[in-house]
Amino acid sequence: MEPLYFGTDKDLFGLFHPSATGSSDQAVLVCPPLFIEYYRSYQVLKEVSGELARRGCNVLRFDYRGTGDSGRLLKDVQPADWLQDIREAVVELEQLLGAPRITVLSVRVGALLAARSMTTNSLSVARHVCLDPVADGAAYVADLEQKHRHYHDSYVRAFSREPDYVAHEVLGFEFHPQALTGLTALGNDVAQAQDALQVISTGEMALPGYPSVNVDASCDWEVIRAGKMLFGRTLIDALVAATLGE
Amino acid sequence: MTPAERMIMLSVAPSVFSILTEAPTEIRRDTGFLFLNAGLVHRPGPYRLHVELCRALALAGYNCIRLDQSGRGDSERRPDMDLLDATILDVDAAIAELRAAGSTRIVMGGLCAAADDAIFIAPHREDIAGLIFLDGYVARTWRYYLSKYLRLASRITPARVMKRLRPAKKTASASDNVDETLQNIRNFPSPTEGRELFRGFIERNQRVLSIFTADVDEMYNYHGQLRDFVGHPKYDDVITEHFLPAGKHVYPFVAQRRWLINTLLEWVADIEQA
Repeated sequence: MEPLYFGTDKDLFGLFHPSATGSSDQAVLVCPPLFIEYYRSYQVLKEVSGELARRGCNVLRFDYRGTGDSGRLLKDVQPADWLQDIREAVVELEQLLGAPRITVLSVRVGALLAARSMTTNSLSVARHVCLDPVADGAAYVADLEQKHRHYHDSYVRAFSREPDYVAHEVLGFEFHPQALTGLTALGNDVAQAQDALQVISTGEMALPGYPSVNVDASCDWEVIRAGKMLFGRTLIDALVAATLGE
Repeated sequence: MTPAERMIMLSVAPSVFSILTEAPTEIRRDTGFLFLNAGLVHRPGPYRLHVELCRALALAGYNCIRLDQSGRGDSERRPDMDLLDATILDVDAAIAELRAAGSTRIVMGGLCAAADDAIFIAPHREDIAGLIFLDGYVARTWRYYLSKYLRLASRITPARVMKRLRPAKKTASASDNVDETLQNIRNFPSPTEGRELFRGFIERNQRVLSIFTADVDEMYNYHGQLRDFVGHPKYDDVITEHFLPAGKHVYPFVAQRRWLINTLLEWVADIEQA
């Protein structure tokens, strides 16, 4: 596994898992989810990436700007920046490997971002595998706001006082003033690229009207507290198999 | 402005990740910070806590490293060692990098399991000038129990009694307690050992910033409990104790994280002047 900073400003942090077989034909770009779901899924995506590399794929995981170890603060970035980050990640894979056949593996809102970036930037992606994809930007924002209200209410019940928020704070993250509008505007592009789309569903958030491969694993995306991690061989194996097209 | 950051693979093992956030040379101070993993969360920390801390501290002149200890985050576990022994080597290597970046005085620690590791490692290192314990170790005192039961008694109402008699429904997302997964990897000293560890910090003048939140009320529930537990005449000279009675364990509010950054900056300025 090799750490790297890439992108035009070299402020995108990534981890590259080179193929164990030395092949440069196949590449996987991991588009993670955001916020609490980013933390919950981190270890699973690391394990999946390692397994894919052992099976011959080159894998790039990365953090969107304003998240993880990448540059910028969250309050200074908008969803349009994340679409650009995905484009930069594809470019990085092409620079590292030549002309690999790229599969995008995305989780939750990562799927919506990836799909929109593919459309907007005409990315050369052969397949898109997504776990419990967020189908619609407006629904995702509504979900975030509902979770925020739930957490707020539980805090007020526990402490009999209002939390101290800063402007544009949602679920503990300080957003750009236009971020939620930007997320809503992502629309519902995930289902547009049906030919190359493989949906993995744990049964909690299937893509409406689109067939999916069901996995007997519970991701419990409703958890809103950082610290609870996803683990589980079943989920890892399903994601690896789907990404390899097995 | 974002300070310069670079990933460093620590020399101790081929796959131990750390990120060095460098203070601008013209304002660099003597103290460097080392943040260990907050439980199982990888090096950015929950809600990017470590990233925010490291960048703010670097802009104030302090080099910082945030680390994925062996077996956590992106660092592989070493099968030939237990986690604490591996962490000791990780800390050695990380401190060497801080020194190479110009830091001559080291502060280490962090949140939850990070504090647990630091409390055991620091006594063996004279170069550790300071420790940060966020919801770290403390033992219950008699006053803890008094406070707990008085509070419970004040809340007794017929409705609450009836609620307690009904079977409890447990929902993960409604719980405000420290996550049970994190509890499983916490490693506490015994009360006797813990008291000796803190007294040792005082005797060696290893400054301590200890901050407790409401989420650890199963072990801490009043300001001054750590002082009462340690029981040393020079406690206030060396140990700074804060209690956030409405604070949450993983610092999930922006204002709480900003308060932590400001508190750390004030505390380390004090160390620098000493």
